[in-house]
Amino acid sequence: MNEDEIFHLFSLAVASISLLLLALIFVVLVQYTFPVINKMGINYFISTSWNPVFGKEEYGILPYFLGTVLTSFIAILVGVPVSFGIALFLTEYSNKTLKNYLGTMISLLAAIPSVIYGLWGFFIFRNFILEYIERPLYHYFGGLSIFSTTPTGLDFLNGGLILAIMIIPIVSSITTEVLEQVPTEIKEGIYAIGGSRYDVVVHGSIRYSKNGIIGAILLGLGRAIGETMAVSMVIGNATGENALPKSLFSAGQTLSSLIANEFNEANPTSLHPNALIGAGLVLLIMAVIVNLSARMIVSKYKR
Amino acid sequence: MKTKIEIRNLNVWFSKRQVIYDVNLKIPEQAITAVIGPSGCGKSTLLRAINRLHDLIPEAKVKGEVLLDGKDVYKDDPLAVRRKIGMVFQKPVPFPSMSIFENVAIGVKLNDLAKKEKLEKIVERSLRMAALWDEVKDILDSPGTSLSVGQQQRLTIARTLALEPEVLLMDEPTSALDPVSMKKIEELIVNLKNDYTIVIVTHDMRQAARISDFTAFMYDGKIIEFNETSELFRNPKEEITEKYITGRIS
Amino acid sequence: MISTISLRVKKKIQNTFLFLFASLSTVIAIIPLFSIIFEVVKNGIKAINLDFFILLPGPVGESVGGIANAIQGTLILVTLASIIGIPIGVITGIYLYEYGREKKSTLISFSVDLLYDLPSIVVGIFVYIVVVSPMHSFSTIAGALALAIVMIPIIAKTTEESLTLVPSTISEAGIALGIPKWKNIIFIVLNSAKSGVLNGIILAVTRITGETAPLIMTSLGSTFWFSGINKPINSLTLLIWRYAMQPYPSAVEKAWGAAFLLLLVALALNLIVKSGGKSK
Repeated sequence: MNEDEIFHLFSLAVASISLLLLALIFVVLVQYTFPVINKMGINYFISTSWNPVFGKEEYGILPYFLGTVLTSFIAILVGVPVSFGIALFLTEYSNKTLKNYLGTMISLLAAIPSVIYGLWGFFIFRNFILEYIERPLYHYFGGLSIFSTTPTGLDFLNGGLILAIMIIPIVSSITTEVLEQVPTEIKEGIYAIGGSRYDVVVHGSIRYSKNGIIGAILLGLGRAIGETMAVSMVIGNATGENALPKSLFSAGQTLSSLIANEFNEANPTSLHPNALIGAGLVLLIMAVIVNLSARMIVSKYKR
Repeated sequence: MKTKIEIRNLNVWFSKRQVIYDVNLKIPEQAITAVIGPSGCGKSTLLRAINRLHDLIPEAKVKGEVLLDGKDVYKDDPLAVRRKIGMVFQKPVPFPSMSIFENVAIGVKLNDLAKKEKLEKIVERSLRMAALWDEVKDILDSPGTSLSVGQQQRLTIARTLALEPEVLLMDEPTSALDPVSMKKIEELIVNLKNDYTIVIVTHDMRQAARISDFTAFMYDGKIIEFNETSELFRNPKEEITEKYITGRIS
Repeated sequence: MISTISLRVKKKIQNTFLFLFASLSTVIAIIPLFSIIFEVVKNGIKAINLDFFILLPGPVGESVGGIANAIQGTLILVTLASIIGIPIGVITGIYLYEYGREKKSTLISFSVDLLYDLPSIVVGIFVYIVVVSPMHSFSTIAGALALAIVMIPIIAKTTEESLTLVPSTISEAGIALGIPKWKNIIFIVLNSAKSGVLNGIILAVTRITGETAPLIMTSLGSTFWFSGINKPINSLTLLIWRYAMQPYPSAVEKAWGAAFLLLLVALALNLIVKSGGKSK
């Protein structure tokens, strides 16, 4: 064996660590989830009760699954249009310098640690949305079920909006990249037949880059699903029946915030840790599915 | 004149496409041999077959023999072959993030050919031979990329010379340069022939005529004609050679 | 005539709408950035004094003490994680670049991608099961391992990308000097991609410095100094998370102070990466 072959084997061995880790993570999580599914059966996925007290143990993760879905949905609903607007502003209305500065600023949003978003969300943003969004909506539209809970500011809406802010950097940067790849001929073609900038964007750019934008949205969704700390600080930390989304203003819990909030309190001899690990497994599967589809779409688009 | 490299029945394929057909060539020692021909005729491919650079490309297949002093390079250690047969590329490629000194010393260093104390001497000698020493002796620590393109090309020549090769392969070494730098490199090449066997691929016929002792004309992957340079240009034996050197095909 | 005018008006309105939408979106995204920076600086600076940097946290609820053990903890965790994660990440990146044609490498590249996408709290759970549980103790090394796992795919991907950007002529020139392939990859190609690889490393370090979730169930947090890699350890992020939710103003103030420090480091490292990327 010559030195190049040794290097080849050595680097292969080191690189295989990632494969090994991934496989182990999956296997170990499945293994530790098994006992709780064994006891709860299908109820683990569809029940709303959550009781770690010894002798009365019951674990159903449906509310937290729905919490993850709802907060991620709010994040996409709010974060994607804003990200798209930013991408438009950078590609259509900015010169190089402005684009550079704004791009850097938006990307700084991604550099802020998640726990700081949580701190800000808990003390600052909470008051803002309580005062200017939740109370007015509750006052005027409290009859609608989605606004029907007395607002506290620590709820699904806060969690979802924080996530919206957190996904803006990734969604907007990929959307910008995608919009930049729209060929000038397509844009000029529309201008040439008397189209306005609006026509160019709506009938040219968006149509041309549809797939790329969908990929960007999915990547944002992947980020939102896995995000933990910020949400755990602003979502109100309800458990069991109470965590079911009743309105935007009700306190709740996501799969990841549940794990963060309860893991250290779980008695290792009970099924409580297993129930939380199972929540992690569901989270893992959701994240993998979403990110895989995003990757497939984005990479196909890039080619 | 003694033959330094003998190429026997050389064929090269990329995937299924054959680019070199049955080339036979005797390259004389301590002389400049030019390989000319229209672009795409396989002259660079031929050059790269001599120091086994095709080994790197999985799709490339080489058949035939390349004898260096009578010994087939394809039966030798490829690393040793490449040290004995140095190569200068079309575009100068100084290694970025390395100083001028490091650029020259790196080959010697990574091949464990000399102790540290000797490096300085080797670098100075190589730079002198490449006619670059006087221009860079005070800025040896500056990045190699800070030099002009012409200087960079002489730097890569110095880098190759540092390994004390026996043969120098040059793949259109002046085509990326301005006329002044080109002239400098040509003078350098002529000087180097006293110590080295040089094979230069060029699309510039006048360059071949100016500096080479022998010229091979290649067309469609075959050597059409090989002769002393003056003879080949004055008295081409093949019609197609004549057409090429008179500019009727390119 | 009338229809042309109304069409022109319609287009004008559409264009104005588009511009307003684009610029408003940009403003909406930048407001939180400034608000976060402003609030963290405003509230954090109050907590900063000498004690803050050199003392252990005082008893809960009393406004004495500092966050020195959290600073120490973050430094130790990030250093240990880097020692484990950087070499593995870089070598994985080299493998993916150099042997990317192999069948095996597709699988490895796929795993690196998936590892990159994993929610970091899942990594924490994993390390809890394989390290904390058998050791019967939360520990510094468990936290460092979790952070290293978060680092590896980031560094592997950026290393591979930076290597791909090195022109093939450079690698070829090295090979033509008779340099063995592996030395050529490390001392010529990797060396040429140095700034990109370094950027990836800084990016990964920034990311793990701000990580909280995988530390909750691995290094746990602590109110003491570091006392061995088999013992729990504090970190800035864990401190912020725990203190922010406490009912005592003095604890909340420390959380803001820690956030100030953390934000400063995160933004500084990020701007280094940005400027490094531009100079290339």
